[in-house]
Order: sequence, then C-alpha cells, then structure tokens
Amino acid sequence: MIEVRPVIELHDLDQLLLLATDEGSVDGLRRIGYTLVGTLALVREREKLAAGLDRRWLGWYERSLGRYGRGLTLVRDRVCQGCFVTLPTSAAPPPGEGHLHLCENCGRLLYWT
Amino acid sequence: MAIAEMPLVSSTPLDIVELRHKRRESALMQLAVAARRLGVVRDVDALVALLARRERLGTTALGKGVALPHARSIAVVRPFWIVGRSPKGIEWGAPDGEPVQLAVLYLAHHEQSPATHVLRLATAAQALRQQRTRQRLLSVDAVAALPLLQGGGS
Repeated sequence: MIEVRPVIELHDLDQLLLLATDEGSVDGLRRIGYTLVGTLALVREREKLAAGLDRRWLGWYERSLGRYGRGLTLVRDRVCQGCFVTLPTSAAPPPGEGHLHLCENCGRLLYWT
Repeated sequence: MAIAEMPLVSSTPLDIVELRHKRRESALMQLAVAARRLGVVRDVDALVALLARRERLGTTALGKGVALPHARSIAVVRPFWIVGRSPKGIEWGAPDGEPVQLAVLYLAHHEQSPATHVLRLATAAQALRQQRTRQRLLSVDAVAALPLLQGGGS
C-alpha cells in the first residue's frame, strides 16, 4: 500500500504554490507585510516529492489536479467531497488510519480517514 | 454593518501556547504538536513540513516581534488560531531583525480559497500592528485573546 504522507505533502505544497503564484494573493500577502523570495526552491521540492511517488498514484494525482484544480479530495462520512457519491463500506480504512482511494464515480484521488 | 466589514476571525477558535524553544523550527514544531493535541490536525508531520516550506517562501515574521505563520492543508480538520508566546523572543529572520515574541499560527482547511485565506491573515495582521494588542496578547488568556486578534477589545 502506498504511503499517504508524501501525497498529502505534495497536495499541500501544490496549494502553497498556488497561493504563491496567484497575482491577487501575492499582492495581498505583500500588503500584509510578508517578504516573499520566489518559488524556485519550492518547485524543486515538488519535483523531488513527485519523483518519490509510485508512478500509478502520481498519475491519478496529476490527473485529479489537472481536471479539478486539486490533486487530493477528502472523504467525509463515506462521501466523496468532490462528486458527493457515497463510497462502499468495504473500501473504508481501519479506524484511526488514513488511506488513499480512487473515486470510481469521478476519478478523484481521495484521502479517506 | 456591511458584510465586508464584519470581523473575519470571530468564528475561528483560538488557543495559547507558551513557547519553550529559541529556534523558529522548534517553535513551529511546538505549535503543530499543540494543534494535534487540540484535534485540529490529522497529520502533525505533514503540517510541520508545510510550515517549513512556507518559511522557505519567505519569513513569516512581520516585524515588531510578531510572526504570522499559516497553513492551508488537507491535514487540517477545522480552522484554528494558535498564539505562541515567547517573552524572551525567537530568531525568525524578521525584516526589522527583532526576535519574535508572538507567533500567531493560522490553520485553515485546504478548501479555503486563497483570497479568503489572505483576507483572514490581513485581518489578524492589522490587529497585530497595534502595540497595545501585542502587549495584551502576551498576558491574556485565550478567551480574551480572540477579540484582540479580530481587532476589537482593545
């Protein structure tokens, strides 16, 4: 089974890069008083993180990111928070554990806890 | 009151942590562990990694002894403020070179839009520009700190 944390980190890093490259957000962050030094180091970190992932899961992640704007979507109460389809009980992770799952309805990569 | 003028921090709970460490990385770790203890975050290591990456984008210290680190993460269960206090100060790479006495961590769910995220931070930053607010945040409890952070109660 694939380790979940690197995928969570990739997702969060992509969202940080989105914040750091969106013109309106960058302008807002600078007005708050933040000093921003550029995204090159983070882009390189992303490449490293992505290179360490299983190609099949990375492919699903990138497809979700390209199609829906985020690579990972949460499951709440057994419902995919992307398409709101109820997922089968048999696919649920053991209590207290998180795992990755592919929504058979919309194809989103899901983080199910 | 117009919707745009309504306080934006009020619905987000807050807690206070006394920071024991002198290094930025250790202080961020302590704040993340506090978030885990409060049940605000699912994966503390993922949060620590994100906070470190945010610092690599540029220091989150704003000057005048204040840092405003922030994270928008799928590991965050619900929005939360954690005020870390360090009367002795922590080296945070601030633009004015002053050590940070108040590290105000804002945790947001990953579904929060970038625009809303920046707006929440701007509201807190505006409140933290007032010297009186900063001084009071160093001594008050969490109940009294929340209105201070939203720009009221001073």
